[in-house]
Amino acid sequence: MGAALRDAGSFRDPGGTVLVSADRVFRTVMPFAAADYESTRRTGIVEDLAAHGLVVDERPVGKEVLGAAGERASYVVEHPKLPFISYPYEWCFHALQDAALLHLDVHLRCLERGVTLSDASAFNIQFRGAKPVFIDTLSFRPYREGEIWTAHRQFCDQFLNPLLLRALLGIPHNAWYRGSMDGIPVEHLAKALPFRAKLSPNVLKHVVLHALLEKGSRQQRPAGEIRQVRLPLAAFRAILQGLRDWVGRLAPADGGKTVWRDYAEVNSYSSDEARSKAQFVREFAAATRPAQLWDLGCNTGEYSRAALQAGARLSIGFDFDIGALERAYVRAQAEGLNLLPLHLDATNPSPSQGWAQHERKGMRERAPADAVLALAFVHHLAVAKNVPLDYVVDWLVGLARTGVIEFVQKDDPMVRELLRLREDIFADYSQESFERALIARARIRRVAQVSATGRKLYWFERA
Amino acid sequence: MKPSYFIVAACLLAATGPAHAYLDPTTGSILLQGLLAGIAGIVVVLRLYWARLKAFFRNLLGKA
Repeated sequence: MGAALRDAGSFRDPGGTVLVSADRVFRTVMPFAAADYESTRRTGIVEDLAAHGLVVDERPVGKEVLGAAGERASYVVEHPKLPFISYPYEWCFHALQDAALLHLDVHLRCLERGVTLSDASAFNIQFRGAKPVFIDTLSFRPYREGEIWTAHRQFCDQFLNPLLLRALLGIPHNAWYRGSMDGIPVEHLAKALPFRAKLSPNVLKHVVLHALLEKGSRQQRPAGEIRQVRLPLAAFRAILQGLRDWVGRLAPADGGKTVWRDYAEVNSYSSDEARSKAQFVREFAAATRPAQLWDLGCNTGEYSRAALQAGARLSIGFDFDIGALERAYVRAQAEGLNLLPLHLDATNPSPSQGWAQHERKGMRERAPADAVLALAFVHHLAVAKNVPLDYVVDWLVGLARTGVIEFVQKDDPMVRELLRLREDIFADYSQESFERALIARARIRRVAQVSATGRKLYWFERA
Repeated sequence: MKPSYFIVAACLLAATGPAHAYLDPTTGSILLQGLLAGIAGIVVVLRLYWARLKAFFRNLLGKA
């Protein structure tokens, strides 16, 4: 096994850290956290939650596995390595909602066994396909009757407020959350809400009153008594359950609820073109069998589905259209697809950020994929966003050793639509230019025309 | 505030605090939980704002 290195995002908790090698993931439990580890494991809660798929599996291993890195640890555990890490600001609304519900469900179950969670970070949830899983097994510790919910603020900042931004204001959380990586502060959300939105009792409690108390306490430090506020278990559970019910009912203000209804309508291949594209993708996936496929411009996920059915193991879908992402997520859950749709602006992908700009990995750090799909995608960058065709091909081909790229001609209705209100300054946008750019970087294994308007799929392979 | 209120509050209070929470829970969150928890919490908040409440009523009555 190669050396296991500390994960750049794991440093805040002195109780232990996550170490990652090429194909294994370990977590140290330091003496500081050993007592809590022992007592929570004795209750069996972590094992039970893992058995139900709510929490990531945890297996104690000998400390020598980590060599010097494990010397000072009291315990070392191993977790299965997740093939892809994603962040709450990349998730669609329903994914963030499912993550929030998972967190609350885990916490409620813990309290039944006298265990509590020490934090409520949305970054403690990862996705396996379209299923959220709780990964921070160091967060479990014994519950002390009467203790307040230390992580309430963090839950609001990182789960509730971003969801409310969309549910009450119709504003997708992604851009704001990405910039404000610790979440959306309650005082800012309170300022943004219109009066009518503030009238619901839940909003009054968890946003308006919360913000008022926060502001008020800044102007007048309450001194030591604050440490003596008690939260009885019954009240604690009531708060968690109330939040669970409320979060479960939230829906995007801009009609995202129709996503479930529309799902049935976009379920089948509606045209010859779609069918031949799907067939090409299937043959590609069957031949290359990628462990991880990146589907750029995944739309509602139908081509990811074709790839997954034909031999791809996991597909990460990327799209700019929030509505399409949500449809893809719904499809992935309904059909049990190993597909995780994420928000992406290809001209501004997730950057590496956080502490030392390394804590949260940018898109490039999570590359390469095993294969890439870019269907009905290139013209959005090359025409709509004015990125030179050469740059686009360069970027795409750099993401994976092999893939399928669709080229849409300038006289195609899709491109004509983009140019409808603009001057055509794209002299260089042509099939010849595209092929030249592609051949300069990879071998073209196969080409197929998939529409009467001349759309072509190119299967490329890099050395 | 009558001393009896303080006694009631004191009875309901217990010194608790998380052991190794690396999180800063923030005062507003704690106060909110206190309020949501009921009477004991309300008492703590009232104590916090008592000085301001007194000043407010003094002003009101002073002007009248």
